[in-house]
Amino acid sequence: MWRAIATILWKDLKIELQTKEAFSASFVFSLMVLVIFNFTLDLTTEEALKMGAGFLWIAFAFGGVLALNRSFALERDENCVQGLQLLPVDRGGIYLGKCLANVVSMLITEIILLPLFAVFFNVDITGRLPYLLAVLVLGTVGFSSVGTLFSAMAVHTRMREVILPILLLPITVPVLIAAVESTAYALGADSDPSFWMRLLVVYDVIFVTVSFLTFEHILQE
Amino acid sequence: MNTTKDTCGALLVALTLVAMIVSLYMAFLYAPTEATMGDVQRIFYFHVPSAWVAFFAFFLVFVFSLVYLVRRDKRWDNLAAACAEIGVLFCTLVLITGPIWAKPVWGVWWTWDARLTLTLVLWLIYIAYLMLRHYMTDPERRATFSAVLGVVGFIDVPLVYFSIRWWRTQHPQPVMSGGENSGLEPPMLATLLVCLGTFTLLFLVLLRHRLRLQSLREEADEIQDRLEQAG
Amino acid sequence: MPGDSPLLLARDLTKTFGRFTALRSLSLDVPKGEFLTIVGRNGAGKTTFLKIVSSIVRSYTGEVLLGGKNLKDADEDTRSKIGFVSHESLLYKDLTVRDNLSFYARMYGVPERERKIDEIIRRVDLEAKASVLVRALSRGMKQRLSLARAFIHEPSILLLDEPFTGLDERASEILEEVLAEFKRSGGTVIMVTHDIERGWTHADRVVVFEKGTVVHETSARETSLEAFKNEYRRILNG
Repeated sequence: MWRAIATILWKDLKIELQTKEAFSASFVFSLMVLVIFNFTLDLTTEEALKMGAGFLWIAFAFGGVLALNRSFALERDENCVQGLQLLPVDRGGIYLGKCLANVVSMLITEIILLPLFAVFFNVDITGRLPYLLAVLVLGTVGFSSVGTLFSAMAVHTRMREVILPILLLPITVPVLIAAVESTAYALGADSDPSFWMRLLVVYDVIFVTVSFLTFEHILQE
Repeated sequence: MNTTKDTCGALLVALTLVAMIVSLYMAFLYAPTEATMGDVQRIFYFHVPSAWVAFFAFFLVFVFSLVYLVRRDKRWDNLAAACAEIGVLFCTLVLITGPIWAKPVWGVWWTWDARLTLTLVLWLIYIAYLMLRHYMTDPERRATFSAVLGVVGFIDVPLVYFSIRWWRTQHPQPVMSGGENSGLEPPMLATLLVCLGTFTLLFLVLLRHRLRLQSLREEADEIQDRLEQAG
Repeated sequence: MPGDSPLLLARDLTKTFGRFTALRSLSLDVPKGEFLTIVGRNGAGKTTFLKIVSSIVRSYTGEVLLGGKNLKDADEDTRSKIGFVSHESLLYKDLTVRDNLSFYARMYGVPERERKIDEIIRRVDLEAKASVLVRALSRGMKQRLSLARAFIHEPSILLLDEPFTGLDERASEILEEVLAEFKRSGGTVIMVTHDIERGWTHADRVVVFEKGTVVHETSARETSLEAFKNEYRRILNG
């Protein structure tokens, strides 16, 4: 199974390196979300500090949906899904490979977006940087875990990729809340650093496990 | 046997009708007027049972989805879908009665308190469930995907509830006096329980009808197929 | 060889899609080394049968045994014996020829991977294009690569779904060669096609599907193509 995970990860990253479609779409969209917040809200520096964490994760979530969509849209071409179905590998391995590829893809967008966010909203991101990065990783894993599962489902519907955010966003409310609270601390808020972090870890474990177990039903005919 | 089923069905409807009349009487006339909130508080007797039924319906969606994934029998899918539809119906009732109650009592239409917010998120999750079903044409795939969503969605419910609650303790709202369960005298409790029972009966009636509708639809499709094949 | 138990055993296969029944209690045995051609009109169940035998479709009633093992709980060993060629290429447009083969080779756990990839690229005459993205290949080249993809893990049973559709001269030539070679080396083939002539060329046995069951069977060695064509026309009109 490790072979399957590694190979799928390699394949998806190689394709992404070639086309850069997922990255460009999600990065530009996330950036736009941040910019539009600025126009529609016109915040003072204090307000930006309080709400910055929220904006960041809204941008990540919406951009992330685009990246997740690409993940299985690329399998739809030439019916490559059938190629996957034929393979003598554990379906769960295919899921983990795809999920990891999505996490990497989303993280790259997020890390590039972070300094831009700092500049736009005059927020100091270096104060608790390792903590901030840890939150990014944990939050992205949680989002991507169910996202990969739903992306596989979305590809087979009439609405295609449009249904992914409708399915995903309500379900990932716990992850988003925990991620935003943790990020708020990372950006300087006065709160308990470990509570929401620990919750993020718990959520990640639950979501990855459930998605891992149910994925074979999605790939099966 | 058809007649036994029909008789049971008729009895159920009759019982529900009686229960509804009794509930209406108890909610509006029998139960005493609440001290701080006044008569508007009576909506509580419809708001809480709706929430209970919605939650129960979604729990059933979870159970039936799991069974479908194991057994692959279409009937479990029909059950899950029916419960989801009715659940969304009652969930909508909660979301409507909530603000109607909140405005005169607290002066605001909506509060982002844990319970109401959870209901909203739940509503969104199961609306997504219905949309997913609506936009899929292959019946087997639709059943499988809905079942997965039904399982994942319900597992999510406690996570959503606790997240919102803990988040709310960090960002507390101005305290609302006169919470739902403050001062529940015996006649009020009795009324609540009766209404709870009535709404559950109503749920069963609706479920039966929805399932009947589904099987009639399938029969019609079969007849259509046979006609087409005959030429 | 007489006396050997068949490589593939299909018993009472029934598959429905909603209200449409694709296969009705279909039974079919395929001995090891046989080249079986399946013909029939659209909707007769040929593709569904192939999908079940390839272990892509797992929800059906009935039993399919491949090499003695039930396909429904097929383990990795059994599934790696299966090669599948369809008119869809199952290739990733944004990977190179070599990378596509590398992906499948890795997933199938092919030993001496690089050597086998080089070999098979040469076999399908794509050496010059080895580092080209599939996106830039012609249709014929894509089909050749798809053939390579199906063979990279050295399957013992090859399943083909309308493989000659839209192939150019060169690709058809290579497919014919590869099929002949595969058969010579003792491989088992099940081919679904509309093209009766091509289907007849290599076949040991030809089977006609109609409305989800086998309605006619004939040995390609003992019957003439003309005779079969007449019979087939009769079935389609009758």
